[in-house]
Amino acid sequence: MATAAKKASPYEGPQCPRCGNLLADVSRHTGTIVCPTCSRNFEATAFNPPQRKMRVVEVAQSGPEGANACANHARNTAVTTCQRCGLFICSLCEMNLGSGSYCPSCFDRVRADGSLSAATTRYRDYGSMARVAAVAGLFFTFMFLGLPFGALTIYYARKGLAQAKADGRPTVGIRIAAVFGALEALAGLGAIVLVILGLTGRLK
Amino acid sequence: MKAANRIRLGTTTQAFAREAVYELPDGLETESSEHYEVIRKRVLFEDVLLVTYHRETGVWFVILNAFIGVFFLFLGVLIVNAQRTGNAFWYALPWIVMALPFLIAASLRAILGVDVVTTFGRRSKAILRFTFRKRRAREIYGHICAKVRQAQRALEREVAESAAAEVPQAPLPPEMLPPSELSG
Repeated sequence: MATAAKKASPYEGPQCPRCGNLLADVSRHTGTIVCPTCSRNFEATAFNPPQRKMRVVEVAQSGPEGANACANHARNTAVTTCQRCGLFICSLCEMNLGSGSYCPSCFDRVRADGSLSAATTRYRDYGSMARVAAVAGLFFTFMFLGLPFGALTIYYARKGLAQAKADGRPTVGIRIAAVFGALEALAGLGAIVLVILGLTGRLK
Repeated sequence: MKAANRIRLGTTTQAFAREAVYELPDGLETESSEHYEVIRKRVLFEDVLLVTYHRETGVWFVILNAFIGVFFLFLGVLIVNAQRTGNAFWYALPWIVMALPFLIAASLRAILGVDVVTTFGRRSKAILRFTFRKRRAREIYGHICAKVRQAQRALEREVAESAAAEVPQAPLPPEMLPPSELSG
């Protein structure tokens, strides 16, 4: 029974949505598919997307004058230069992000340091962090830790608001967390003042 | 990506993760929240290989919720039995209240199931789950298929056009050549 089928982890292609095993090309069709591994059925629409053909012009074709060779592929004509390092790059190497073209190595670097917003696929959710800090602060306010937790909530809420606005997400939850953060900070401050007053004997 | 450019299709919330799927003009975008990190992935309509639709129950979800619900009810029964005085109902009420959400969740899941629409691309996939809105699930399935078909037809045309442009033109027969070229 389908010994070739294996668990797809990480993603390797279409799988059975019920058991997660890879579906072979032959078993992918439009209609009801019965998974060869788990024998359960599901409805499917199969597609055969055409491959986008990359047109690469070779230096020999375009002629030596006015044609710069790609820095990575000496036979290919450069179509542009890298926006970051200025390297001549062919259409195979070009990483066009709308905002400009990068060579593969520069693309990797700007993606790693997060300076390219279009290429960022992983980021911190400051809104969630603000909410967690606010809830934690509610408990710790009674232990005179309201001030640091409140400050932390406000800090995260500020960053979360900017993030949510940039993404066009609702900001209500973050605003509520910020209000709680401010109250916790005030409560923490009040608790500290009370302790100081108590220690100095001004509180009777 | 600004909210104006993307439409939320659905959100799946699990025990430790949350995934929202948005529709973009050229594909689907998934935002999975794991702890405090959000991971963003895209499935381009041009790259879609398979779109599936199925209904699942989630046996473990039903079993776990039913077990917790029954456990709370059992505790309620034990406490009621232990109390010999007063109105037993008031002793049982808090336990019934605690058990009810779990029992309702288990029953709803067992009766309704969850409709799942999965879009498989070449490099990533997007999963949409619908517990109550079954018609919406069906509409989304049809909508995604239509968008994929439209995008892939446009790509097919583009590929065909670029292939046609690359075909070298056959030389004209000598009788059709202009006199200036014949003399040369």
